[in-house]
Amino acid sequence: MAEEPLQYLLLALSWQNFGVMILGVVVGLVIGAIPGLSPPMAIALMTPVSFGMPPATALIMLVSVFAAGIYGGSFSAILLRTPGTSASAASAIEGYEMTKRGRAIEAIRISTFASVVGGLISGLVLLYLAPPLAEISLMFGPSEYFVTALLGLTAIAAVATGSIMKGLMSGLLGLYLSTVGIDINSGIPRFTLDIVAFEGGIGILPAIIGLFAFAQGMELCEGDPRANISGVSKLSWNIWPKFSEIYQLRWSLMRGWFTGLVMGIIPAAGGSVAQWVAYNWEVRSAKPGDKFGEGEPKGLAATEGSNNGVTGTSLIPMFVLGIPGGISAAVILGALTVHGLQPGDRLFRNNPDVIYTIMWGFILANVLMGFVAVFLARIMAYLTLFPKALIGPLILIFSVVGTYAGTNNIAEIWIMMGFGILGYGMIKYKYSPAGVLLGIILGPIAETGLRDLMTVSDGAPFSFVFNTEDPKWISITIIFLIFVAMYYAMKPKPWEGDAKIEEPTRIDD
Amino acid sequence: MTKAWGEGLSQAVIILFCGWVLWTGAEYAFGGNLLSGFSAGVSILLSLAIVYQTYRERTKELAEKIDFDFSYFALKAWVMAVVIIFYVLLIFQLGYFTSTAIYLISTSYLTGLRDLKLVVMTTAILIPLMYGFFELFLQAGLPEGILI
Repeated sequence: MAEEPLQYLLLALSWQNFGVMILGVVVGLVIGAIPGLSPPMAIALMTPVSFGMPPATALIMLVSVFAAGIYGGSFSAILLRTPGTSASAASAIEGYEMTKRGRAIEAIRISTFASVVGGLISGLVLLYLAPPLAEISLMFGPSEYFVTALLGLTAIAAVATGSIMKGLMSGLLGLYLSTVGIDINSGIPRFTLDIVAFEGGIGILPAIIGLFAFAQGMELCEGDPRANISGVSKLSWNIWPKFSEIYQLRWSLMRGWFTGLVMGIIPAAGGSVAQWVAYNWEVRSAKPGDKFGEGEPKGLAATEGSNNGVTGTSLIPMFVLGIPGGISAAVILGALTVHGLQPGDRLFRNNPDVIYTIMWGFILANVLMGFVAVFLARIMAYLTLFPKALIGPLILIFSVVGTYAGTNNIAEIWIMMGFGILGYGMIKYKYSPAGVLLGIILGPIAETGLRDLMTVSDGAPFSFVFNTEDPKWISITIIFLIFVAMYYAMKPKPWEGDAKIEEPTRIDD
Repeated sequence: MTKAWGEGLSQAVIILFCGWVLWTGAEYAFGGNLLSGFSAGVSILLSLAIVYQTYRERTKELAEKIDFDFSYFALKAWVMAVVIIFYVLLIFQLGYFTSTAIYLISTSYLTGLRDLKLVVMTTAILIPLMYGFFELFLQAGLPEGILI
């Protein structure tokens, strides 16, 4: 069992994969560091770039963006008290307090070590836990996939918006949109409004770019044009970790990493939840002399360890069942589909070279991230000074050009813009763009499952709920109840301490 | 209009849309309307639940009046969305370089950014960089027009 993943390590180290890994890490660090820009948006923008690459290479680039984006978000959280991503919001509490006390570089060092090692451990857990878990999906037939699809989009949508009902409605809108186009069973065009571009169905690429990049670009055009965050220019940038610092924080780091690993596996929990759970645990483990809220390195170590500890394990439910562990994982799932790969056991059986190469790519990207950050640290700090009024239009341009480059079809640009406007409206009215995307991705699976279910149940689909002879249903129900219970148990409470953090955007994770 | 009424109104629009989905889908054979019907049906139930919840809660926030702000500042994001439509139309007439430069300079004016040096520098660096990346590195064709 241990040997199989190892034989694919060399594939991940090919010059092509290594090149895109560096590209992904640089893009992730840069975009993550800019407040208001999020890893899902970075992944969305890089998806058309991945066109033309082999699937493994493309996915390596996207998971590298993801890992580096989460880490990059900590820079602005620590230096400016403005989290680059929502997964870094808790780091802003202790991190910024350390910066105020002249300990910025120490905070960055702790963050770098906690993030790199957390991501590394998380990647190894992904590598060795995902394949055996994938066998669970063998128990699933089309009907089970229908329920799993509903569970997935309920979970992610609920966490993303804070309103289960609005989140679920977003997912249902996605399911509906997935039915647009010619029905393969009857050959009849559905909901196309006689527009030829809709006959082939709604593409995932314009949906990803529109919902996550264009919408955020529009949002950035709002407000004060001169809005940027100033303050950091004269710092020394030696961010190699010091053994003494790490040794003092060893238990905090371990608590953070452990929290991240566990929270990542729970669908939809993600880094945004994990950081607060880890911080809460750390505060409760405080010893006399610890000064939480006043720049306590233990708090920073735990939050930084947890938000990158999540990254690898959040890909487990995505690869195994198609239920993403967070919003970034949902966008990666979309890219996976765009490249013709379907999650589940078949992915591991039919494409082991692809999936293991991606996982090794993720692990290596985490190591690379630390080295690249050493060289980019100063640039990342300056990037936080870039005015949002210029970044917004640039993202809109990149969305248009990226969609056209990926599809060579002007109709897809209009569809992408439609999704962008929809996404912007959804953000404003507290609906979930992630739910819509997931609905579009899971729609075909759900539709096949629902059709089979109606046939098997002879038009009485609810009979399966009470089918106690089939243990699969009992298992699914128990898993669902555990998810619900864990979600409510670990749902982050609004921080009521002195350091109140405003999250820059909700399209984050 | 209070926020509670606004919520009720938006849910009414959603219910109408779902009704249209159910009505249109009714003619699709071989179970072609199952998933869309399921989505629309559950959405109607959820909309009704949201309306019920809104009026049951009667919080202070929901009782507040909606502040309709039609100032340029409030509508800036929408203005940018309209401008990008012109950009898409222009890019196929004038070409990538010219239309992107025009777009970036004009949007910086529209967003209120007056740092011309920064805008020109960004335009000069990023436009060729993006062109090189997509056209030369990825060999994905970018729109061409009468100019470059």
